[in-house]
Amino acid sequence: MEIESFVKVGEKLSKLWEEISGLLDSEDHVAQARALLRGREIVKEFELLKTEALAIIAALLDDSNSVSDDERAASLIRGFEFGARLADTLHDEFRDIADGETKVVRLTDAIVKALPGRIRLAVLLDHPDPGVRSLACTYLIDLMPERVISVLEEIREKRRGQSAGMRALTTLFGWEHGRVSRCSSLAK
Amino acid sequence: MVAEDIVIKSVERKLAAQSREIQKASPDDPEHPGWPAGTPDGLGGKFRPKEGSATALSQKIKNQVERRELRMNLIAGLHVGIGALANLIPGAELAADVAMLADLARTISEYRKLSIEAAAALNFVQNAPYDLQDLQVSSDYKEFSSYDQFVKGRPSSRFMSKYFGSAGDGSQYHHLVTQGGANADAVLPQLQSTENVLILPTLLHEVVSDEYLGSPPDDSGGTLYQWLQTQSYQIQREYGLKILRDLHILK
Repeated sequence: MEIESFVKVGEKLSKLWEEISGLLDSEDHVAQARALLRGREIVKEFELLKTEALAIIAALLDDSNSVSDDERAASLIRGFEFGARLADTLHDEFRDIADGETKVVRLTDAIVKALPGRIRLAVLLDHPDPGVRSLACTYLIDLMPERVISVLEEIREKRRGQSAGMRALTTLFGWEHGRVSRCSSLAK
Repeated sequence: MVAEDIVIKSVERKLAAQSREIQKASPDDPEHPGWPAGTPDGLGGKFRPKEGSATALSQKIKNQVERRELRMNLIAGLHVGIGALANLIPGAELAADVAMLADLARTISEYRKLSIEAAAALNFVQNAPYDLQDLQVSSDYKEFSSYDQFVKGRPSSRFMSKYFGSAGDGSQYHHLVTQGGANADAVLPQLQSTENVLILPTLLHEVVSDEYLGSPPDDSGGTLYQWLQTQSYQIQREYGLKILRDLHILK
């Protein structure tokens, strides 16, 4: 599954918004009904994609076929990358936060717990996608604060208002006010 | 001749520098970002606003507001029976009836309201960021014992020479430090004060409120909203201001 499928659905929603806006004062009820029906299909498509994407991550967590720790870790890290990009897309393209982004982050929590050593996430600190970097940082800030803080500060500055930037803001804020991280209970 | 050569060379240097400065827009170039080929409205190949710029942020927030509201309304519309609207389309077996037309009219009317609110939010965002004072109901500090008091006032109180009424059409009151949850039972005298309550366009208020439903910085399993309410008033306020700054609402 490609994250771009969600981006395309977002674009469809934007186009539909323009179309509906142009029909608001119209007496053409057929055109209005058609637009609303198309909207229903777009929303269904979105929900199906989301269900499928969440199921992919859940299945990865259940997969115990990997023969070695390294293989298992590599598979989980790929799932983590996918989860980070999914969470950011749901936030940035749809503002689907409570029912979308948050559900995905709970799954990435589970991925991190299943990882044989969360320090393995450190390979993602140089990931080209700032959302993947910032999500990895939330689980690593207590292990390597200096490195993580500099990564987060850069993302926060460059991605204001977006999921990656908001996550950087929240992570830095939690660290500053109480030294908390997404792995606080693991650390204890 | 010497002077002329100098002038010519100077012009040549200037032209060379200019030609170096002329860049093509590219979707992958952060310094000269462009719209990808095929972008609607003939934008393909043209320059788009730089990532993080005020214009780019306004455009992003506009898209997010519209998509969020449209998605939520379409989901809500499903229970009114949007499916039955198929009957309005020629070729369908059943004829449109009055009830169906009434449903359609009501739905369209909701979208009309939404469209007005979206335009108000966009107008607000285009003029952003604002000073905090611009969004406060009064520059004079006043505390109220409840939200109801803030809105309706209590004429018998000597501190209540006036009250603020509703936030106005298309707007809502936004609490920098949230007023529900654990804060509702806490002793926080500043909660319902002119310092803590701001006015935001309704749709933008919803976008800001959404942020509080995200994940907290720890693994307590709740929401950011719940985590913040375990912090002091000042820390909650600091975060509330940061969110508004990140969303390009506040300076």
